[in-house]
Amino acid sequence: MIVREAIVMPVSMVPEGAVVEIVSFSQRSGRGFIQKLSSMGIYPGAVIRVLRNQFPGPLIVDVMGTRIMLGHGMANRIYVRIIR
Amino acid sequence: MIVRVALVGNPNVGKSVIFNNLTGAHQYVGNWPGVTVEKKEGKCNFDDVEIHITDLPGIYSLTANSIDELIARNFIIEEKPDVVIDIVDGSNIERNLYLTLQLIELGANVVVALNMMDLAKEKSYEIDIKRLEELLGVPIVPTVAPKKEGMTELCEKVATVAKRKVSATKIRYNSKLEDAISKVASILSSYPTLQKYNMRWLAIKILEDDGEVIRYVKEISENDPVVWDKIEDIKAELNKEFGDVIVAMADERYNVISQIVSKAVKRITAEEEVSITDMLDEVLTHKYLGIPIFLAIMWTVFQFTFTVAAPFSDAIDMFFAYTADLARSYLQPEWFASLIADGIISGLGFVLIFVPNIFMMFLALSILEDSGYLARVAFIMDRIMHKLGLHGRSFIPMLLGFGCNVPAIMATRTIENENDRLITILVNPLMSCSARLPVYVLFAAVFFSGIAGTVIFSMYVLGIVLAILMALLFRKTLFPGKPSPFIMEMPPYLIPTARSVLSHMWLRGSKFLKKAGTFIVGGLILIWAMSNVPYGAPVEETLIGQLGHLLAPIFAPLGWDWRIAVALFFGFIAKEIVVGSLGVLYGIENPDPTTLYGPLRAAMTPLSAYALMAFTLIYVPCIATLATIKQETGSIKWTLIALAYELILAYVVALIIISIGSLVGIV
Amino acid sequence: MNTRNTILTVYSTIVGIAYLVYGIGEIFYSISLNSLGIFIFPFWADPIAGFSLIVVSMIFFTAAKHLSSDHKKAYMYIFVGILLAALLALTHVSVMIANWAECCLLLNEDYAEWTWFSDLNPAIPLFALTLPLIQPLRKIKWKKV
Repeated sequence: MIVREAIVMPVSMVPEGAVVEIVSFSQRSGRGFIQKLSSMGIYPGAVIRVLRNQFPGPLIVDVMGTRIMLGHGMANRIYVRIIR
Repeated sequence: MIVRVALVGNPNVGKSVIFNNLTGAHQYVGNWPGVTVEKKEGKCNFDDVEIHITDLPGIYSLTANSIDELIARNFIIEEKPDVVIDIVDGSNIERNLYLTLQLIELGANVVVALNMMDLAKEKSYEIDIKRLEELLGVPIVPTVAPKKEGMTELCEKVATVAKRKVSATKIRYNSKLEDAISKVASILSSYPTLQKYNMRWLAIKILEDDGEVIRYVKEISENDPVVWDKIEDIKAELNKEFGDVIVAMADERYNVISQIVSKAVKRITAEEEVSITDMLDEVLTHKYLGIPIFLAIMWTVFQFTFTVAAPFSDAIDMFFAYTADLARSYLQPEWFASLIADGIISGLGFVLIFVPNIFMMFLALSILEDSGYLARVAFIMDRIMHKLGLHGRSFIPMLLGFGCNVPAIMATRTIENENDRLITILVNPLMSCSARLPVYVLFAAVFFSGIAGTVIFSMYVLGIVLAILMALLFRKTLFPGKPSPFIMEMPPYLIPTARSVLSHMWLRGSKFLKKAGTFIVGGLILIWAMSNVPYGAPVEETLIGQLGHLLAPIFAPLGWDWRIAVALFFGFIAKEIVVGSLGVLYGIENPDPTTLYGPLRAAMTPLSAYALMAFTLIYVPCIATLATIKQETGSIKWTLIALAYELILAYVVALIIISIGSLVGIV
Repeated sequence: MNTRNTILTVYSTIVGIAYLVYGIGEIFYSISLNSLGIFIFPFWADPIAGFSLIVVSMIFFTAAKHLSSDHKKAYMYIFVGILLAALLALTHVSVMIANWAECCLLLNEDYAEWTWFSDLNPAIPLFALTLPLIQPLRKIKWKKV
């Protein structure tokens, strides 16, 4: 059985090197926000890895093998759960 | 036979390379009507087939959320190209297939070009192409674009499938979704006008709350409440089942994709191997080292741009001086010799002297961009840019602005959000472009010798400070709101090919040359004309002198005389002209600036000289820049605003400098 | 493995110190324009050039620091450090060639007293100093992308 951390947090607070699973987006997220992120591989259920986190700055995450940079505004609205 | 083809794909998949491979010299670059998005079209021939190719913007999906996506999908829907080539990055298949699935939903006649097969191999992917073709239901052609591999096969496949009818796709999502989709589709099918579109796609879009599609269908259905209530019901059911339909659709697509990929793609080695990109990124995006490293790299860029390019510039200078002398000695009558030598030849030479600098800078920047480093720069600078209300992505145009504002403003195209883009454009001219440097150098040498370097440096700093202030001001007043969400893909580091670097350099550099060249040469000839009519008269009495005396009162409070006023006036055409015109105005034939030192010292004080330098920094973007602003913003209003605010700001700042200076007692 | 690590750490630190010393030296030299005694190579009067040398030194210090804990990471820093050192050296060489062109091809009077020696910069020999570090790098397996 995989033990997962039960706490859900914005990905902006995840330490470098952690692997997370996307849980949901913030309530206030518009359609455009969700669709844009989904089209780049970030959608609920997806597993991504945080490569760089310069809180309160931008993040670099690894999504399906691609490196993607997220502004911290966006990172604050993506809720995740740490897996590893 | 003529076959019409559209090229689509994610950004960074090598679409432009393939486009260039196929069309070569036969391409035409323009704009999509009504917007400032670039449109590229070209032709190529294969056997007896003529293929017309339209390059669509790089997109991640076909929603209605951005101009790029709308352009792409409207083209496919309205223009109905015979084939849509979807360029997929073979080393990144899963994410790329998201777009492919949407193209298939749309009912387009898709041929997939599986590009970057070499990178895929590096990443130890083994792709079973036949199996992939079966599962997706579309033909796939492997390619390696930079090596031009697969191009003929691609054309061949395109020609073969061009005129066939697209069969209904066998890709199906989960049953509940499919259920809803067919229900909505059958509702829509009662409207004959909609028959020409793909019903399934329309249904999916309606379920996804697609603004454009909903608007259109509502129009066709005349907002019939019966129909729309039914649709809302279906949606509500789905929402109950899945929470959020949009999310559910995305999830489903990826589900289908991962099923396909697990059957057709194998990865041999372990994932944990370190790649060169990882190695570079570890250091280059380091929290503390990142910015200093960037500064060091920028230093090398500037060294190349100025010092290394210098011999070329000097060589050009000597050549033109020599030719001008020849003209002066051998041409009759004297006024004609002067026109050719001082007007045209010197004018041309004046522009061409900058060519090595500009091209060197663009060469360096192209290398940085193609290697992928510039994306990291956007990341490093994002935190700082954020405080200004902008993005990391706005940083690069600012950087280019130090070379020349024309290509810098063109580079703002990558900024999606209109407001962010406008702020970046409006503030850009404050980045001291290389054209202003001759003015600084001249006045610093005359009035501040010894600390000349520092004084010039202070001008750059002043420009940056003002840019920051104006950016903040604009953000608070004209464009309230937070900067738009920032998400950007970072391509892996690659060693740029000579071909692409040189072509980028040429693209940007030649734009500068064409625009600046015509204006500067024209401007110098104009000045020559005005300063020589009537010929032989002392400068004050020529046309230029009269203009000067007209303008002088405006600048009197700043301590500048009529000559400076005229020089500034002509600086409007191109900042490079200011020094040249000063030479003319003081009646100096020799292009050597040192002969100006005496007259200038007599004409103004160090304080007013400093104010003048500041004024030149700020006052007005040259005509070429203004033209570019108009082209990129598509509106006269913003161009005029840029013009106005800079003039006012320049005058105010110069006034402040003089006032503070005199108060403190500096002369 | 441990002795190798120690040697690397020491060498990395030495490289770092070398770059640091010359970097600071160059900055002071450019600001005060004083002759600071006997040096192996004459300096350029460019503070930012000195600054870049200091940046490289920081990279090597970080590499040395990581060598004790995560040597894979340390190699990354060494790799980039060498690259950057090469870039700086290349830049200086290019400037030298450009100035040579000014002096001897174009016969520009501003450069009448120029010699190869007047542009020699510590960045070049310092880069040579980093070269031995390439050897341990070859031992790692890394892939292109």
